Amino acid sequence: MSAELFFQSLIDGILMGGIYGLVAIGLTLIFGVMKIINFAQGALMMLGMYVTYWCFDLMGLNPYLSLPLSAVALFFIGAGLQRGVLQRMADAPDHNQLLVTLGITLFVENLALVLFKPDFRSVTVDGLPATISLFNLNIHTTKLIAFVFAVFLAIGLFFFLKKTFIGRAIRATSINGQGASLVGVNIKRINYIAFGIGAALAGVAGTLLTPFFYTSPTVGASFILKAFVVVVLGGLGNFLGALVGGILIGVSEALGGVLLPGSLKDLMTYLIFILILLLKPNGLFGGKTR
Amino acid sequence: MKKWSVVFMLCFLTIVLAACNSGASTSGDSGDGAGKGDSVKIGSLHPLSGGLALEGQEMRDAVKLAIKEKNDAGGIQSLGNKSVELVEADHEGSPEKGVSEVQKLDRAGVVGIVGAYSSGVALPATQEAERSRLPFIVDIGSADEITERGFKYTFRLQPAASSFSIDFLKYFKDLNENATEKLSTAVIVHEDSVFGTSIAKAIKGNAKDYGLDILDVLPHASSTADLSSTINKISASKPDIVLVTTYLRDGVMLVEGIQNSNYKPRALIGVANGAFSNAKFITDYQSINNLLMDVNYTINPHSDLANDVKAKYKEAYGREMGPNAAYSYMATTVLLDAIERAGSTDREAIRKALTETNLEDHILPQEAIQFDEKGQNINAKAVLNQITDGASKVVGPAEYLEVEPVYPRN
Repeated sequence: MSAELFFQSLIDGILMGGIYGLVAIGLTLIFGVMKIINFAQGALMMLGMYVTYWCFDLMGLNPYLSLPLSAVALFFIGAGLQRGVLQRMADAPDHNQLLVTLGITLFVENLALVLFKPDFRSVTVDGLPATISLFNLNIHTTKLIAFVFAVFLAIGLFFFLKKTFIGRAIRATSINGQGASLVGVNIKRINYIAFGIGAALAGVAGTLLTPFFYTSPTVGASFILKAFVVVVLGGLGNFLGALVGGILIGVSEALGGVLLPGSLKDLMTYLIFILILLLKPNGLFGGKTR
Repeated sequence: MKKWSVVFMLCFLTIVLAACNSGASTSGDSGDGAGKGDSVKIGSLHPLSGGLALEGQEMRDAVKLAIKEKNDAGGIQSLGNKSVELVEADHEGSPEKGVSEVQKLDRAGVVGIVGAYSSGVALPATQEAERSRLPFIVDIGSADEITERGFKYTFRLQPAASSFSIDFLKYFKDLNENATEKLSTAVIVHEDSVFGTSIAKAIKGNAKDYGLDILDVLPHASSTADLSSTINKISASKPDIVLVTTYLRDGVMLVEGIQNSNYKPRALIGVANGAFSNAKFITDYQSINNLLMDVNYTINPHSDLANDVKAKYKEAYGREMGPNAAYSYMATTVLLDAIERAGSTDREAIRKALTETNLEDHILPQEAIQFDEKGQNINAKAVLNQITDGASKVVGPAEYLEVEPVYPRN
């Protein structure tokens, strides 16, 4: 393998990994902090993509400018789901919640199939070159932007959970709900907010994906399993871990795809996943959070 | 302990989810159209709802058009001008539904079925029709196995998957002979289900005989989120030609990725490609699709009859008649022709008439429509198309040529 091929694959892998991390960040909040296995995260991301797509299609809005819109829209959808569905099953066994989120996924995806049609849709960003060349290596600008956002979101959320009142309340609720309510935290409200933020992050990920990925009702399926792997790899509830886990998966895929023949690249990804879980069951950065 | 069970459950659910995605959709049953005892009923089995609804409805409309033309011309003459009645069925893209709809059509008393668009549905649906001794004409459905199972009641109009590969190699040889600059190496990129794999295998197995050197074969899952390793491998092996057998989304992703990479292959050729012959891809992605080629089934551009049918179709349904609809139209015409010759509504008599089909007046780029003993349209041909300025034109073979090919493209 030539050095150029190696470095090109490495860069592609890191950027794609950042995107896996980006999709996983909202999930790690809901999954890692709230202990809800949210299968609907992919479907929520898809809704975020459609917010961006319709803003672009109907109003000609630059995809990146619709970022706040999709975040706010998905926040309310997420909070609504928590309030209308998940909160009602708070005391039910964990697997019931999991199945409900699966049900939500199927419902939302099929509703999108009916409303939006199964077509693949794409947006364009005016005035942005598709790639930047650096030492004869191609860097995709839209992926780079998504990557940078992923880094800032991970750092931002880390401090949000550590330093702000709501962040601390979310963590307190997740560790011991009864205790938190005893010291005056409104648990229900905190849960709406936390799930809303998680959904908003899915929307943000969706928006950042649209410039280089195709919007369609079933797009979530391409990402959701990898996102779970990333979350577990990085340690539940650890945002920086999600980012590092994503990059690890992205790089192993990119290098595996070049080194191994055929469809074996996924095999390498899941081999690494299994090995890390065997050696470090709490994930790469597990145990740090709580 | 708990974490492990969660992970397993997730894996399991993903599989369930993937399985549900293909099948889950709303049911839209179309009536059985029972009634008039004095008409000949034929069935149309296409995906009218679900993910393939657009294609399915276009094809159903083409069946309607063929029946309407027959009725306007006085119905089935050998049966005393009996009129023909359409019974619509919707398989939603699901194999199970395909089977149950065949049973329903059987009970409705149809004398033949036209369908089914996807190989996955065509395989079990033709099996059910075989059991019911009900003639089934597959308009579109490319898997070789459809006509390889020794069925007596299954006939197929479309070229089979393996013949696409041989057609491609023939066109490649012709292109090279007429080109000032010869291309000799290729990399095959294909989606890794039975569709892409079988085509890639057939090309690789026969390439040497046509002077083509296959440097690498690169499969990917059509649902993949990222093709950059495929693109990096292409850049590394620097083939003259990239051969592409994909569905729509991954096909677009690949072409875009190649466009943005350092290496520009001299030709990009699709083989039965789901993207390169997609009407929307051809018109909407002009910045990346110029001079792409595709070996695929289509309408005969030089037939007056074809232009006439296309005009009628557009007038009646407000849409262009695509290749899929053209094959449904012809499949229906073939069935009506067989009923006319059989002079009977007996399914066995119609089956026998179908085996003797020799239809010269048609809209496809091929010689007369005839079926071999397996029920395959023996003269079925995939033509070579090339996209220029947002339109796909036939560039081979010579008898159906619309414009001269541009090869190599850069």
